[in-house]
Amino acid sequence: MNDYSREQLIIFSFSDAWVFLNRYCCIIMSTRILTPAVRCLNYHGTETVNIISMRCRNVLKRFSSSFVQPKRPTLKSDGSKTSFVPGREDPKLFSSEYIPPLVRPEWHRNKLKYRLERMDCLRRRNVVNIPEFYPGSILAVTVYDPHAAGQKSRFVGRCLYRDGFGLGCKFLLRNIVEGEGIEIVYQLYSPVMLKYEVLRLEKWLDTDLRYLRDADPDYCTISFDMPAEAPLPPTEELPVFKGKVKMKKFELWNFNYHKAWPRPYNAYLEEYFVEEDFMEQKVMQEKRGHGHLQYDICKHYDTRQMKEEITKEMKLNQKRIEAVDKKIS
Amino acid sequence: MPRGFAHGNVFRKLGGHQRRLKLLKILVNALIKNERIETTFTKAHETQKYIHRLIDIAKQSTNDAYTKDMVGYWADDDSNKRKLFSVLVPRFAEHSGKYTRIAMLPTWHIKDIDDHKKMAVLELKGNPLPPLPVKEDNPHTLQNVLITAAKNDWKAAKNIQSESSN
Repeated sequence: MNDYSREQLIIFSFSDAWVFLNRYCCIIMSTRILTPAVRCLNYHGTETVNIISMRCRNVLKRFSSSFVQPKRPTLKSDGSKTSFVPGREDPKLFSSEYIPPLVRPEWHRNKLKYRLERMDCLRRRNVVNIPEFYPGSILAVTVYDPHAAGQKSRFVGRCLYRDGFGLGCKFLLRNIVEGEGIEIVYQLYSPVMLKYEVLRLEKWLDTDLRYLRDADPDYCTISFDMPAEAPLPPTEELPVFKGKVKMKKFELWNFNYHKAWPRPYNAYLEEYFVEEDFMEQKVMQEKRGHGHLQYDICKHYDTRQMKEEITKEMKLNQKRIEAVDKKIS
Repeated sequence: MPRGFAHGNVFRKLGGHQRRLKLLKILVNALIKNERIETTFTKAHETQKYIHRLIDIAKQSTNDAYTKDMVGYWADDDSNKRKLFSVLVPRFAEHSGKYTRIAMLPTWHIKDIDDHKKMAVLELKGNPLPPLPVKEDNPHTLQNVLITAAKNDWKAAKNIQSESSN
């Protein structure tokens, strides 16, 4: 689904350290000055983020005389627990799996069924805390395994996609363990899932990141001992990752990602080609690709107006569930 | 359901994806410019779907990247774009749903080839041209009188319900 909710690039704002995106200063800074606790992957050709310690401020002053320290970012906290920035609501009230699937023709859509399924999703969410996460973020999942020690097993990985509606929502975690790439598909609402931890919350422009299989393996190698990073409070907007991923050689690809729709934004698909090959690829894209879907308005699924209705519905559902629980107890 | 529209395939092929889009773009622009065009029935049926969707997009009138892209592709000319926003959107502001009407013409029989073209006329509602001789339902028959009364009752009940909930 072509995602037209691409937000503007937002200034990274952390409460503990002050950050600046000035390219001039980043070129001067060498890696020795960066503290070992703070390492960021340098994505090619895009802005880099360097969190600088107190020692560096003096170095900075030497190099740039007319430097003005930026203001400390103020969090938009009203003091109330239930304040959210419009992009990041409570996942109980609105999540991507609450949007009903596109079924044609219209009279095949069973709205009662969708409402009942969303109610069941809420019931499960009241038992297990399912945090908000997007394709591209790193998750740790504990699953009930009767044959493992302690009846549990834990897996860490990067979420490549999130698919399905309601209780059938699935997501894929990928990790490269001892040189072997492992992918596991989990069902969000299955009773086998015991615990979810979001180790790093990232949001990528693409919702389908399966091209990371043929990209630099750095993106999917995640150690099982990775500590959870500081959670971003829901009053802050989540910055969208707009960098580009370096792919392997074209001959090693398992799938021709040029044909994929929507076209991946976060990947350099055409960097290593000679111009003649590039023209061939363009012809293939036009003939067999799905570029025609970009302007085919009847085949687009417009979900912009569904958010309000669904959040209203889920608030009502929460009240109904509480009322029923009171009666039983 | 008509044959060939099973399995949820609601769209015709019309000669391939790229060709189909170019053809529909030409027809949509012609419709916006002339407000009444004469084509084959299949092409008219397809342009109906796209025009309804285009007008819905234009009605929302947000400065989205999406609306700009789509309107920029489908309403090709500047004059068509202006007409869309300044003439058609206010005309259909309270009109919800179908903004066009199809009327069938007699088939064109071509003697040499065994070709029978089923022609139709596609027009936007509320156009200034003289009206088509389309047979509309007689509102004074007993069935239609009862149906309109039932519709009005249902609408009134729904309004009362929404007012009480607000």
